[in-house]
Amino acid sequence: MKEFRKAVVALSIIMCSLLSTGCDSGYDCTLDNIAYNRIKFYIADKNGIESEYSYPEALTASIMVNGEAMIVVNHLTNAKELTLPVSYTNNCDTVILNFFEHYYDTLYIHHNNIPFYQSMECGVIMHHKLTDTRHTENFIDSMAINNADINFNNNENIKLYFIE
Amino acid sequence: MPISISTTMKTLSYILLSSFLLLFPLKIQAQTNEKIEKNETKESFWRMFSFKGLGFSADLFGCVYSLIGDNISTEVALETNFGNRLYPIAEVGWAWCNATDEGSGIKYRTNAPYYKAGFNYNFLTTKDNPNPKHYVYGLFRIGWTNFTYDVETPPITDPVWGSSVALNLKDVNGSCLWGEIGAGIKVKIAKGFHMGWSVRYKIRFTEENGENSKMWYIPGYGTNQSTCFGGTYSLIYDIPIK
Repeated sequence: MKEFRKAVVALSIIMCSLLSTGCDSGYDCTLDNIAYNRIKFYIADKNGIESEYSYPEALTASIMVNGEAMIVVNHLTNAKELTLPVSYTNNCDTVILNFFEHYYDTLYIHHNNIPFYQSMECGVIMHHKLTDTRHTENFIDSMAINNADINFNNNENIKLYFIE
Repeated sequence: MPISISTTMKTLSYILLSSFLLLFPLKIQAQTNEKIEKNETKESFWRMFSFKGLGFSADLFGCVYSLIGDNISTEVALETNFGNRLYPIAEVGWAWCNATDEGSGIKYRTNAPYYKAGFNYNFLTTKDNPNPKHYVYGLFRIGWTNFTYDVETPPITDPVWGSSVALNLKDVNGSCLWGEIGAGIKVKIAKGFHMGWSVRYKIRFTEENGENSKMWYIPGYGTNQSTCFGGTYSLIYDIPIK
């Protein structure tokens, strides 16, 4: 009986030490529930060698929301990139870039929308996958999908090449 | 009387040889004793872990927990008794979960079996007390489940465009492999019957989630966390073997 008591005490100590370590979820909820499309600016020389680019003048960017233009970046100088919201239900977002007040380029960004269930506590977040891009060619030379997954990993999704 | 060198050498050789011959049987005797001791140790080792019988147990904790939680999990186990010390165990369980989060309105459903294998080691069995009435044991298990789950969410609203979309996933495949360490107590309540509880610290090794979701509840493991605690309250029947 003495041994049983000793063992029970030892067992209680072991279990208390285990309980004190607690449980670890290993997963944190995403606080910001919007995954942004990250577009980085580049320029390529005649030999096709690309380098990062910052647009030296004031740049204004708008997205078309339900038929109306919503300004998301207003007169930003030395812009190196844009981070834009992506629609949950549309499969093509329209982005209008305004250079020198009167010159415009339009980007058409095609994507699939992927709702992702995290947990009861964290709820549902929206991921997107880029499928295609198109653009007008006033100041923009070309566009390329760099990483198609728009999620919370801060990927560089699109490379936007300006005309030299 | 002068003694020659050859005579002295001969005498010395006789003494050395005879003493060696005297020692030889002692050495043989010592070797035989060692062998006997080794055999005895081997025999006592095998006696320590000799087959003593089988046991069948049912976990009642999961059923009781269902009164306060939104899931039910219960399991049965078959254990083999080796020398009242080592108990290899195979467990099979079934878990039901039908949970709704009151805040978000998200629903999660699953209903699947799970499997565990491992052993208990009883610390109270000693040479002086080879048949203890009660048991205090440490345990180790490996658990595995492969199951499907459903998730239903109310519509989420796009903060910019204002549109909404709901998620309705059916029969999403998931699987998980985990380990359990812990300790427990088992006391004799009647002839052939024991009752006991155990507390287990669970560590998730691998998980395979569906494409657009993460498992929230895993049968046999509990809420999907990298580590968590669990418990059992079991009734054990010692199967009589003649």
